[in-house]
Parts: sequence; structure tokens; C-alpha cells
Amino acid sequence: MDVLVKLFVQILNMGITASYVILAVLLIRTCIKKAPKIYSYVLWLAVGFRLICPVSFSSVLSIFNFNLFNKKYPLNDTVVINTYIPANTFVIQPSNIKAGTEAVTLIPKGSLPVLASGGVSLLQIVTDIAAVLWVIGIAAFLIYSMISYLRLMRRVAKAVHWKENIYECDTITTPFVMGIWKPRIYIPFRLSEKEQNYILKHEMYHIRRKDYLVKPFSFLLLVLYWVNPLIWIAYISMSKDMEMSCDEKVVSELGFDVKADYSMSLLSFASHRSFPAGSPLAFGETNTKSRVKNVLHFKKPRWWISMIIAMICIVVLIACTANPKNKSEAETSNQITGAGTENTITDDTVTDYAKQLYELRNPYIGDAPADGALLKELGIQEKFGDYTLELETSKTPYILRIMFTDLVTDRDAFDVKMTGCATILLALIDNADEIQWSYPYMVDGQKDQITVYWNEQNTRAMNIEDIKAYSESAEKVQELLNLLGEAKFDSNITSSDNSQNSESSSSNTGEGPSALPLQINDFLKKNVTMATYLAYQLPDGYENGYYTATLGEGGNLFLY
Amino acid sequence: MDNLKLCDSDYRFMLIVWENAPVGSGHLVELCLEKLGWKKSTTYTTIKKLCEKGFIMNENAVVTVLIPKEAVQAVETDYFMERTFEGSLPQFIAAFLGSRKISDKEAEEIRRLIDSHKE
Repeated sequence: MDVLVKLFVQILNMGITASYVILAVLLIRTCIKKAPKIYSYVLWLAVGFRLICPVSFSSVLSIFNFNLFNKKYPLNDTVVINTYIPANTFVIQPSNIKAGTEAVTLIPKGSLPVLASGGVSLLQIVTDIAAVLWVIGIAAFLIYSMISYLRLMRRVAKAVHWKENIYECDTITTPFVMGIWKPRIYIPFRLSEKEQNYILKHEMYHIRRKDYLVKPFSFLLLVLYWVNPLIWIAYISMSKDMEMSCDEKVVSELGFDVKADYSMSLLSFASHRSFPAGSPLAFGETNTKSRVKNVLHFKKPRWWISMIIAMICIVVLIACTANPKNKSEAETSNQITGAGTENTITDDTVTDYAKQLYELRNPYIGDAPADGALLKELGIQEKFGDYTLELETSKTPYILRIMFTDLVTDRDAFDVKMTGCATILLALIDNADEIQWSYPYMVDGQKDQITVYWNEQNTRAMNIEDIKAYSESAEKVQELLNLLGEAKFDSNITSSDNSQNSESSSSNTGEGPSALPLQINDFLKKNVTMATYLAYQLPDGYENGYYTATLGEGGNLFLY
Repeated sequence: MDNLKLCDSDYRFMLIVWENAPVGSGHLVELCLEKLGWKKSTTYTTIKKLCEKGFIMNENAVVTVLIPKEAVQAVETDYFMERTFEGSLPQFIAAFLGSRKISDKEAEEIRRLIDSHKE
């Protein structure tokens, strides 16, 4: 079931990517309406590519570079997958849903309603059902087309071989090509010689161009993506372009004075059609009216116009198949990768990542989809593992809690990395008062649940006066990212926190700057979270250094 | 007589039968494959169908003709005349001749044909 849901989500995502390409192709197609239809036909290659291939190459020349695509593409060398709905969207661990808190999971922006009930989430049921319906739909389409194909096979069984791969048949009224391995042309009996000539030219051109393969293959794609209405439009439009470009080829080959005759024979086939319209594996004639019009209006463009249109098509093809290449490659490392990896960000550039984060800023912590989008953008799942999200919004302080499910081994590194993400979350979710994260951790051979708290007080300890101010603009977000990149994403936490007296903390021990949290860790053992807390925020009046800490009543920590 | 009408495929099949009858059904299958591109099953189905219609007979795997070629052609011609020339012979001949000239020999032959058919 999980695999199925994942596959379904993948298909939806690829369908959405392809939809943009379809819209672009439809637009260009209208622009070059007067041009030979072969150009429009070729453009559909881009759509096909998008529907088949989940990854693409990057290029500066890409329609996805337009601003209307407010998406962040995680760059991975040159192979990029465009994601709109995260694959883990629908994966829920019901056991993590606690009573008394509003439990929600990541859901795609503004799509399905958020509903969580006691044990099993309604959302999960809905997605499961959707995935199953999708598969049933595919099966139905396949069965239907198989049946109509077999029926057509039976119908032409008595077709009489004429010559080469041409067969005459009583039971059909319109000519068509059928077959995958050995395509055959079927024509009705008693056609006039003239008509035969047109038709055979037309059908042979289909065969030469391998249209008889293109058509069933694109039908398979249609079946796979049947939930997406734009794919239907694309399929129909492509079929039209295919036929029309074939018509044009015949007319230009036989000479332009056959236009009228050719149109007449198109018409005569249309007037008594009883062709099984459902069968995509063979194709006959469609859209007679527009085809006749097209034939009559067709003229060979001047060579330089052809050149220009061909150039446009090539550019559009590349732009539609390529993923965006971001201007600064540095952006790749700009994602908060934690663990003190190199930061190549410079202060004066605002990366797309910062822009994207800025776009995703969210005034209400209660807007779970928006929260989810932020978490997704921050790559929480990739960096820290699976999690569930809890929101406490019934009273202040408003808390966003990320509950990780995987056992954490290197707690320090984990917390340091998460601190950065939490700081960004605090900045970008306007009314979030506190970010919490929890994870299982082994203490003295026992599994313990660690919870870490992160709020504005903590960020002030990082010398950030007003964390909320960093959501004012993309530049400010970038500033925060830079700050975090330099100050927070190496392990040198304590010294950069309180730079004015850093010598006391870093020089006292031989093992480096993380000495303070470790010291307290040792001391407090069971209450390890407090150590992290202390590492970032010493109470007023305390300076960095060595302290003895005891845990008093009510969880108060005493330092001396 | 109306049930003597054949569709084009069946007519093409019958042409082979008329030419070769009596013919073994196995051999007929080969002939149909060669000349019509038919599968074995298609040929057998057609034999069965035309047996039911009374055109041919299939006994001991030998196919024989029941209705001669001329009878079927006459029906076809009648149908064609009726549909295209409203059954009018002069109209048909006029259309057939068109702007063509016929030789004395041909004219004589036709005259004889007409005389022999006079009531």
C-alpha cells in the first residue's frame, strides 16, 4: 500500500510538472497556428519526456525559471526531480498522535482537509482510497482498450490482402493503420483510384513517421495519468496535430491543386463513420472539420519563416524539458546541511533558497499546510528523519513540536543542526512562540524521549535581538541564514554565543568549544536536555565557564 | 434472389472457390492465405458461413460449389443497375458508351445480343 501511495504521489508530481509544459506547448501552439502542423506535433515531445522521465537536466533556459514557479529545486548535480507534494506527505505514524494536542501531518499546500481522529487518520484513508481508485481506473482503461482492440482485430479478420501491407475490408468505413510490429493499412473496398492514392499516401506517411507507435505509447501515458485532465487535452491535441501534419505532407507531395479533392475524401469518410472511436491502438480520422479547414488553408511557408519557427520549437523544447539552473551554484550548499559543512554564502547575495523561505513565511502557526511547506523546504525529513508534527495552538505559548521517530545517536550534532532550523521556523512563523523537537535517545542503555525547547529567549542569547524581524524581506531571511551559517552550524556554539567572554569557555578544556554542554551532560545524565538548553542560554548574570548544576524541585536548575 | 448478395470479402473468397472447386478445405486454406492473407480460422469461419447460406457445400473436407458464378454476378449487376441507373438499360448503355466509339463488329454483336433477348 505504501509503495502504491508513493507511486501515486510520484505520478501526481510528474503530472503537475508536465502540466506546466502542456500549458506552455498549448500556448506556443496557438501562436504558430498558421505554421505547418509538424512543428506543433514535435512540441509534444517535451510533454512526453516530462511524463516518462522523473529527472531532467538543468539549464538556465527553462520555463521553470519563471517567477510564477515559486518552487525550490533541490539541486543534485545536474539531475533534478521537481517535487510539489512530498512523498512522505501521507505517511503517518498514528501512535505518535497524542491526546490533548492538535495532531496534524504534513499535507500539500491547500489540498486535502486536515482531519485527525483518535487512531487512524482520515487523511490516510482518503489517500489510500485515491491511490486504489487510480489503479482501478488504469485497469479499466486498459481492459476497455484491449477489448476494443480485439473487437477491431476480429472485424478486420476477413480483410483481403491487396498488396504490400495494404488490406481491403468490408466492415470498415474509414481507413486506418493497425499493428505494432507489422503495421497494416486497412482501407474500405471500392475506393476510387484518386481516393486510394490520397489515403495510402496519408497512411504510409503515418507508418514512415512511426506514428502507429507514438499513438499507443501516448495512450499508455494517458492511462497512467488519467486523473490529470490536462493530459487528456494534450493527448487529443497531439492526435490532431499528428493527423493534420500528415494531411499537409500529402497535399504538399501531391501538389497543392489536390486540396479540394483531398478535402472531399476526408469529408466522405467522416460522413459515414461507424468506427470504434474508443480504440486508440488503431487510428482513423478525427476532427474532419478542422482538418478540412487546415488542408484548405495550408501553404508552404517561406524557407526563412520555417527556419524561425523551427528555431522557436527547438528553444521551446529545450526550455520545456530542462529544469532550472540557478544563477549561483553556491546555492546548493546554502541549504542548511548542518554538521558544519562549508558555507559558501556571501553576505550580499540573496539566494533563491532565502527567497523561497521568505515566500513560505506564515502568519499563523495554526496553518498546518503552510507549516508543513516550511518544514519541507528546510529539508527536516531528509536531514533528521521521519517525524510527525504537533501544534499547540489552544493557548499561548503557541508551540510547534516536531517529533522524530528515529533513534538519535549523535545528540549534540542533531540539536545543533535542529537549532538552526528552529530559529528559522521561529522567524518565519509569525505567531510561533516556541519550537520544540523530541526524539528517542539511549541513556544508560535505556530508551528515553528527549525534548528540546527553543524560543525567542534562546535566540536572544544568540545575539539576535528580534527574531521576528528576519521575516520582513528575503534579504533579512538571507541575513539570518548567513548568521546561522556562520554562528550556528559549526560546533562552536558556546564561544560564538557570547563572544565577549569566549576565552573562558573555549580555553579551559583541551577538548574544544563544546566543553560546556558536555560537562553538564555528564553531571545531569538523566536530564540531558537541560544541557542543551544551557548551552545556548545561560541565565542572566552568569558568564561562560564551569558550573555545578543541580536539579531542584519543579525542574528548576541551580547553577553555582 | 436477394440472399445471393455477397460482401466484397466473401465474393473474393468465392472467386477462389469457383476457380478451384471442387477443392479440399486444407488446400483452400492455403489458397486463401496466399491470395487474401487470411488466417486458417478466418477461412474456416467463412466456409461455414457460406455453407449455411447455401453457396457452397463442405463434405468430407471437400468444398464444392452450389451456386454458379454467373448467378451471383447477375444479382450484383442487377443491384448495381438498380442503384446507379434506376434499372434503366438504355441509361446504363449510354453511360457505358460515354464518348466512346464502337466498331462495326461490336455493334453487330450487341445487336444480335439484343435480338436474342427480345420478348
